[in-house]
Amino acid sequence: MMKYLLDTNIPLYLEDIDSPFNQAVQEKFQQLQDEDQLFMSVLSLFELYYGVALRKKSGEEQLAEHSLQVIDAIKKRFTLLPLTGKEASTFGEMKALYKDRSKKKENKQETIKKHDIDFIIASTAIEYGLVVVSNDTIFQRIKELYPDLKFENWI
Amino acid sequence: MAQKRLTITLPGSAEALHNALQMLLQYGLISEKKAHSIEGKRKHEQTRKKPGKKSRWAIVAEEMVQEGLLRGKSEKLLESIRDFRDNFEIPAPVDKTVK
Repeated sequence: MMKYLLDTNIPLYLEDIDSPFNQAVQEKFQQLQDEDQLFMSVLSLFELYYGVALRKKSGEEQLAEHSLQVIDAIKKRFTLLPLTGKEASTFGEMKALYKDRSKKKENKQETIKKHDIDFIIASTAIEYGLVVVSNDTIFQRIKELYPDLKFENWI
Repeated sequence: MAQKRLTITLPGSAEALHNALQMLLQYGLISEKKAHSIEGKRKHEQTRKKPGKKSRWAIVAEEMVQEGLLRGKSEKLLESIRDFRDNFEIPAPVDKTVK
């Protein structure tokens, strides 16, 4: 039995038949077993609701409505994991490690701060013993620094 | 002396079966080889019994594809998600040392 933590992009690709990544995600879902478990972070809801608010503000009512329906589809099908505080110490270590490595590579401070959500998702996965599934390469970079993280890109 | 025969109804789900076999192994009621053989046999039976049966996750994927709520719009939503992540920061601890 495998336990996965889906990043927000995965269900969005499933709901978008025109996405070039739709087929790959579908095929991977078809290979899963009944006993496999799929989770999502509650943070995915935060960012999806933010997207809904932005669409409403820009007058894109239909996309806002569809985004709300996607949120319902996610809530109905996947187990949402709350933040409990248990992941905080892993987050701290991970961010410090990434910051240190980025400085050595002379990356700008900006590149560090934009990954806080990714670090939280990665540390949640480690805390619960889940494999992160995403099409975002940041998780591969985190894994290189933090080998405890299990990561798969299904695309 | 005649050996007593133990009859146990093994559970249906793969996980429960695995746990039951582990318990039997722990108490020395079954050999490791036998446990492997039972698990393998059950797996084979389940595959054989249900040719082409879709897993619940295959069904979930089909449902979501059929809903097609975001036709050609997933990238637009992902942009707002990236915007959210780019602007989200847990501030670094403030140094409150009195100098």
